[in-house]
Amino acid sequence: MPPIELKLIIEALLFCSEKPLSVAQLQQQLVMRASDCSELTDPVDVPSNMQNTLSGMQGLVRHELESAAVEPVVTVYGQPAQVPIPLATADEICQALSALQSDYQGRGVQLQEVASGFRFQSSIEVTPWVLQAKSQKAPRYSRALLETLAIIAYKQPITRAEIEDVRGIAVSSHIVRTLQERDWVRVVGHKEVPGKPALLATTRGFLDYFNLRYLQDLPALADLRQPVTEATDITV
Amino acid sequence: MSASLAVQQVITLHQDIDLNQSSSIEEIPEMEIFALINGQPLRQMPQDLYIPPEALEVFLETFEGPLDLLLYLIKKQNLDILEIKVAEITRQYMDYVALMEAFQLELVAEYLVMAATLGEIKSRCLLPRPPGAEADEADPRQALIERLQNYERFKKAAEQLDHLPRCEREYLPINLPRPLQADIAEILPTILLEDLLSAFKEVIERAGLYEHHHIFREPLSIRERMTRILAALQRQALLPFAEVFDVKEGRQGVVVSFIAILELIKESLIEIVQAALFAPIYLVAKTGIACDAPD
Repeated sequence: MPPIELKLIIEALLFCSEKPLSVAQLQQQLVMRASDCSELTDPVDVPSNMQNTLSGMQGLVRHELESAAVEPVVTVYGQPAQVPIPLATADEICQALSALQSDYQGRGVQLQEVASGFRFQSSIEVTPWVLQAKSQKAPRYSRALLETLAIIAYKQPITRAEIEDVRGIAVSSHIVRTLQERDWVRVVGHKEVPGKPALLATTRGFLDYFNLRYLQDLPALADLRQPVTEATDITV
Repeated sequence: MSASLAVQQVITLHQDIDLNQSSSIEEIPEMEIFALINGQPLRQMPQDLYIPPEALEVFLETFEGPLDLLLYLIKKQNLDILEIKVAEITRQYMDYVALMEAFQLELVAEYLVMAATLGEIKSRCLLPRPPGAEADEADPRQALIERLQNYERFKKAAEQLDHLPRCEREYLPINLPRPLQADIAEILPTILLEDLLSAFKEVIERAGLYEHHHIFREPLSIRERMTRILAALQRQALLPFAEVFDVKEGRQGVVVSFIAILELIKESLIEIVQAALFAPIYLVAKTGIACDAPD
């Protein structure tokens, strides 16, 4: 498949997807079943002209609407073989994505890679206008919430008691609930100590929200310094 | 919002500082007045900020706990955390606690604990040290300094986090209203153990064909295989059951993979789904669900 058409399909897929799509997810969606392209004599042939690409795309849409899972094995028993034909390799998809990324440079919409894949998003310069048009206000988060979130992000997995130890004050359950409802934080397990407290960790949704690909992309924490040993304070 | 900023806002609100009217008074040189308070020109910057009593509550509420209040007191004196003067800080801290009490604010227990800690540190500092043990004795302030520093790191990290470009403020994810993605997690038939076993048998049979090519390697780790399956599920939502197995690994490898799947199911980390009878079996990650695995 020539890369230009693949790029267009990926563009449309990303625009229509509610969530970011990873390369693997894109590859999974970019399949064509033999029954959808009966004109092809050899079903393993990857189509090379535009018409076949279009029929492949229709097949793809139909395939999604039927919500059928991707069938990896040829079924026999007299049934027509449902062979998914991969339309592109992961490398080709990556190439198409970076081509798209440069296409959208300097536009009002940009292609961004985040933790769970690629997504289209408004450019930083135009976002205020979109917010205004939607009469939305950018939400603001309290310091307590941000501090709790930061501690979880940097020290995960962490229990609530350990967060409280850092902050020196109780963590309200309201904040923890909000973080979980926003799908930024989830319980990943329970610590093997009395009471089995829940261990909290951040999700990919958290990275997506803050436009990050990996936890390592977070700004580095400041270093701890050793206190100087001096006794100036001994006399009142 | 930083505490000092809060104070300034409070002052602006309550003292009615009027910068606009200062130019209308002509007999006083403009340079010397920088504000009018209740019609009176103010020529000098006040030494310390005056906090009206009714604003105190607002002011105190902007502190995120005793560590935050201590940090503010230290920063106010332009002191390094590493060189805090316990006596001075304790005195100021107690002043604030007294104020909180005077205004009958709900005095959070953590503030009192910190007051006690400060008192303890001060008394330790005052105790004469035995001549021999001087080198071993740790600085009584050390634990507090470490906590303050650690808190400050995360306070800064939270500020940095707040400044990161994020959705709903810098970026808005775009998607057309018509969802194209089929929701796979719909009502799916439950899979009987027999189905799983017969699928497993198939794989075993195929694995047998590769017996002669079997190469001895390190004992296969079930944990490692579990991680690999979980990682694969992070990349793709659906992992075909058959793909988990690398038949080249032979019978042993296949068994390890199968046990890894069973372990993951037991720990509620994955689910097994099947679209229809005789349809291929898939592994799906159980995401977003708190893993309250019953013991």
